[in-house]
Amino acid sequence: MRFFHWVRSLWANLVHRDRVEESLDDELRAYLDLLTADYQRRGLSADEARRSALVDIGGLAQVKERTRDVWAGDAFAIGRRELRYTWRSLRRSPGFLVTVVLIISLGIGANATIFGVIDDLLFRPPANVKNPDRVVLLTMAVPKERVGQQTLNFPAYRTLHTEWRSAEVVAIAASGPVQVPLGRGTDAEDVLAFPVSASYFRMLGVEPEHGRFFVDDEDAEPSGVPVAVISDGFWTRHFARDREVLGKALEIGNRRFTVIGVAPRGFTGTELGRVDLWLPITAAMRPFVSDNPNWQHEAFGTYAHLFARVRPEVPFADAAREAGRILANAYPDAWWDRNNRSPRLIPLRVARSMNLGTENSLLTLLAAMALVVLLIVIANVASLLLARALRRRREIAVRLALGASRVQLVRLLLTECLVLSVMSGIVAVFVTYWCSEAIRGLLFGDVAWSSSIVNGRLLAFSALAVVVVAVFAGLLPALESTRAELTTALKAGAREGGGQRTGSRRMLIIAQVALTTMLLAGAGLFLRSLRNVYALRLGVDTDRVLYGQMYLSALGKQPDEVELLTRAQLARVRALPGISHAAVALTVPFGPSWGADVRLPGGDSLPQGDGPYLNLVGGGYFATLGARVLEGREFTDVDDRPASPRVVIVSAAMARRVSRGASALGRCIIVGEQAAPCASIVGVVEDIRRQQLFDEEPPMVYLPLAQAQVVPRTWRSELYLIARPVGDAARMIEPMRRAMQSVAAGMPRATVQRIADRPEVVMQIRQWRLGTMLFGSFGVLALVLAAVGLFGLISYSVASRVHEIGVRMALGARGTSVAGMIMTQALAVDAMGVGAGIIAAIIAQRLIASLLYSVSPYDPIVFAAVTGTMLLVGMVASIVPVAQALSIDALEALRAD
Amino acid sequence: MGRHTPLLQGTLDLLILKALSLQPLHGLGVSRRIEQMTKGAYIVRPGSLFPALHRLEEQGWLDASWGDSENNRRAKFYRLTATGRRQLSTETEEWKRVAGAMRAALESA
Repeated sequence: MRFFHWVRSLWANLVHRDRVEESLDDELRAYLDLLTADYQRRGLSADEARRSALVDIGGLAQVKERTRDVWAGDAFAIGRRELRYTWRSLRRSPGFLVTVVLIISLGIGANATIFGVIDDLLFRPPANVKNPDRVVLLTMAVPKERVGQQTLNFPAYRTLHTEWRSAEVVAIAASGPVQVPLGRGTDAEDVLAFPVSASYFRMLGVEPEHGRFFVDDEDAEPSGVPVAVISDGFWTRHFARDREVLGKALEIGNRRFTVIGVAPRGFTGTELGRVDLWLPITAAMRPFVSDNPNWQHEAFGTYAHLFARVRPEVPFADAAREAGRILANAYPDAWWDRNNRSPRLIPLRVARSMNLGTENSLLTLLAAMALVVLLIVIANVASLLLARALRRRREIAVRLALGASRVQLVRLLLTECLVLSVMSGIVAVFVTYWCSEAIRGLLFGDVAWSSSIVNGRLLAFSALAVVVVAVFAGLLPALESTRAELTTALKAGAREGGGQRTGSRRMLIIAQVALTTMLLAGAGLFLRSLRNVYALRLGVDTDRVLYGQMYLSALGKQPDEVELLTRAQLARVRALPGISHAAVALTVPFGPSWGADVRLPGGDSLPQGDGPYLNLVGGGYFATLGARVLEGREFTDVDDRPASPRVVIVSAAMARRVSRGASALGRCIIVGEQAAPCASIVGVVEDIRRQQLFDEEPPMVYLPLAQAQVVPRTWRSELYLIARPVGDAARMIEPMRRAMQSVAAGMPRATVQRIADRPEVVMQIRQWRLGTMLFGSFGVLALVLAAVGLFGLISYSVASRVHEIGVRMALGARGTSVAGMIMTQALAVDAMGVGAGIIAAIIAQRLIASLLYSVSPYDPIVFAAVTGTMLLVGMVASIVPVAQALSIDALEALRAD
Repeated sequence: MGRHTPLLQGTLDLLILKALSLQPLHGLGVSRRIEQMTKGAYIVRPGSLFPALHRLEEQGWLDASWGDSENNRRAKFYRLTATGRRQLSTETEEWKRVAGAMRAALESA
């Protein structure tokens, strides 16, 4: 009952404030009139009665004020009066207004941008998935490795599907969406297909938007039924959302897949990236998931993700143990099951972002950095407001003297800050939009974002940031400037401001410089890491080499035909102007890889597991990649003929295994079947990365493609072309694609890309690019803010010391000594900030050390550069104030009193 | 200003409730009534009166409406609500208990 009353008055006070005010006015006026009438009745004249009544009341304004104080929610109610006053005073200083709004909106924008990225990548549950917390990815944990082995194979899926009791549903899917050719000839294009088992949709608990999902019969071994479920986006792009789409055919390779259903909008299932269509995995296994013709039974290769929905009552650890027992029983010899590897279940939410290559700790660190930027912004705005408030000390002192309460004044100043923050908040939404566009485009081009950039959660976050900035940036100046020292401020001749009162401002600026130093140090460390990553010798110039691929086996071409067509394509690509080298190969760095059986004559096979790996290559392969031949020579086109003498090239790591110290050149090794002839080593090349950017020296053997009879023919069902353009590789992508497609009529679309743009590479570099880009932009933003802050402080101090400087100059001080005095003041503040920042950075290095690449978190070069930059900024910031001081006319300054 | 007794904490609310227990009054009426009830010991100034009236209204113990005063001046009249009346009787009881206890304590020798 009482609460209800309170809410009603709160509503009235906040919403119908003017009516409530008017009522109070009327009430008091009635009181006054009645009292006057009383006095008149007692015989006073009208005037005297009025005066006595007014004396009795003792100040209408105070009565009103005290009454307002008891009103519910009064603290929140900013009167129109305050708003009007604030707006008028802000309009008088547009420079201040624009600066503050810009600073706050950049700070809030930076925070909201990071919030948006993290929110979408880490916290949003996957769209349309029922109870996603029970869905897991089955990985094999490897001792001492953080990520472990993520892929398994079809036989393992079949076994778990029938035996794993802890799981409600088990599903298998490709390790990611596969680029597949759709259509042929001029209309051909690439689409992202995701081969999955029929159980996949059931496991996720998703319902189709139109039509239906796969039934088990459509996903039966050995080759399923060619049907397809399309995404909502693909439905819109290709079929204009036609409901009659069901039954239409999509030509993928040499098979026609019939559309049977449409997935709901926004559904990407277990993937973070875009998916255009889903295919039954048995129908799409070859060549899109595995090239192995024996995929149904061979459990050696690993190429697919296994997902499961774990029963509600079973803990993940128990379910994992059960899966471990089942797999160990069924595949006692599988390498992925040995060496203490054991299943670990990773919740879908984590699994989805795992392959982004951005460790969660990096995202957390970036969020912390964004908060630091916000702190800098708050410190900066607080110091600007403080300066402004100090300039208005006279006005404030007069108001206090006239009886305004301190609370009222604080409220007025807070109102000003709130108005500024709200305006900034609106601008910040635009800033966020642009920043998010840039980050999504530049760094996360492969992610299908589940939310639009500006969404409810983001707006709520920004609103919260607005309030935080308003309160923190406004409170200190408000309290500081209303500290009652009436007499000093009112005394005639007291300078506007006064030099002693810059203490809190100095502290704010020092804090700002310190935080900026930290950010710049972080940016520097990330930049050095990124440069170290780019400077890594990979054995391949990833950004200068193009690879081209065309799923010819999907057209039903036999390996010999594939080889013929690919060689014909090679001839056309080589003939293109602007291509310096080109070669054909079974695989490329960061592509799929093939294990090889390698023996020394009379000896046993070298153990498999971590190599040796095999590649079949044409003449000029290493020159095209840009790999160094350490000993001997590279293959020529003459080697790449069936009748030529048997030759082989090995990697440095392989050479060490073969010859243990001595030169491997001229030695003979047997690659492939038992009966294969011995091939002599004609060259040793540097180690070329297979899949990992870091610390990988895989033992590799390279055979000429034409001498590859020693490996099963089916291995050669798909081939790659690689080419090395003379100039900018990106410019040659289209010509190369056209050359490949023109080799025969009715060819599917060829995929041509720089090796650097392969998802496997992008993912591995993303962490440092993201770190550098964001730390860098935060750092620059902070640097500008620090410069503005320093400039403001120094120029303010000069302005308030005009008199003093005038006296000094009148007494014969030289310009240089005045300039020196001001510079010293600026640099002292600057240096204190830098010192504090470096100490803080050293304390905080633990947070960043694990995210760097071969850079010490104490890297002296970075710290020296940051210190230099900050001191330079300090000097630049004091140039204008120094000039101001030097232009002070001693006579003028003295006459001002 | 005349001599008057400073108000004990919380007594103003009780006095206002009591003043309104007979009939609705406007602000000046309340202050006159209190002066009269306390035989001039308490003079309530507008600076305390109006905040108290508004607070009691927000608490739901008073209801207010506009009406005509004795000399036809429109004024805001306050009236006890049912909860206000209950509050008056509990506070009166409480006050009597406290006052009795105080007297007993002070007069014991």
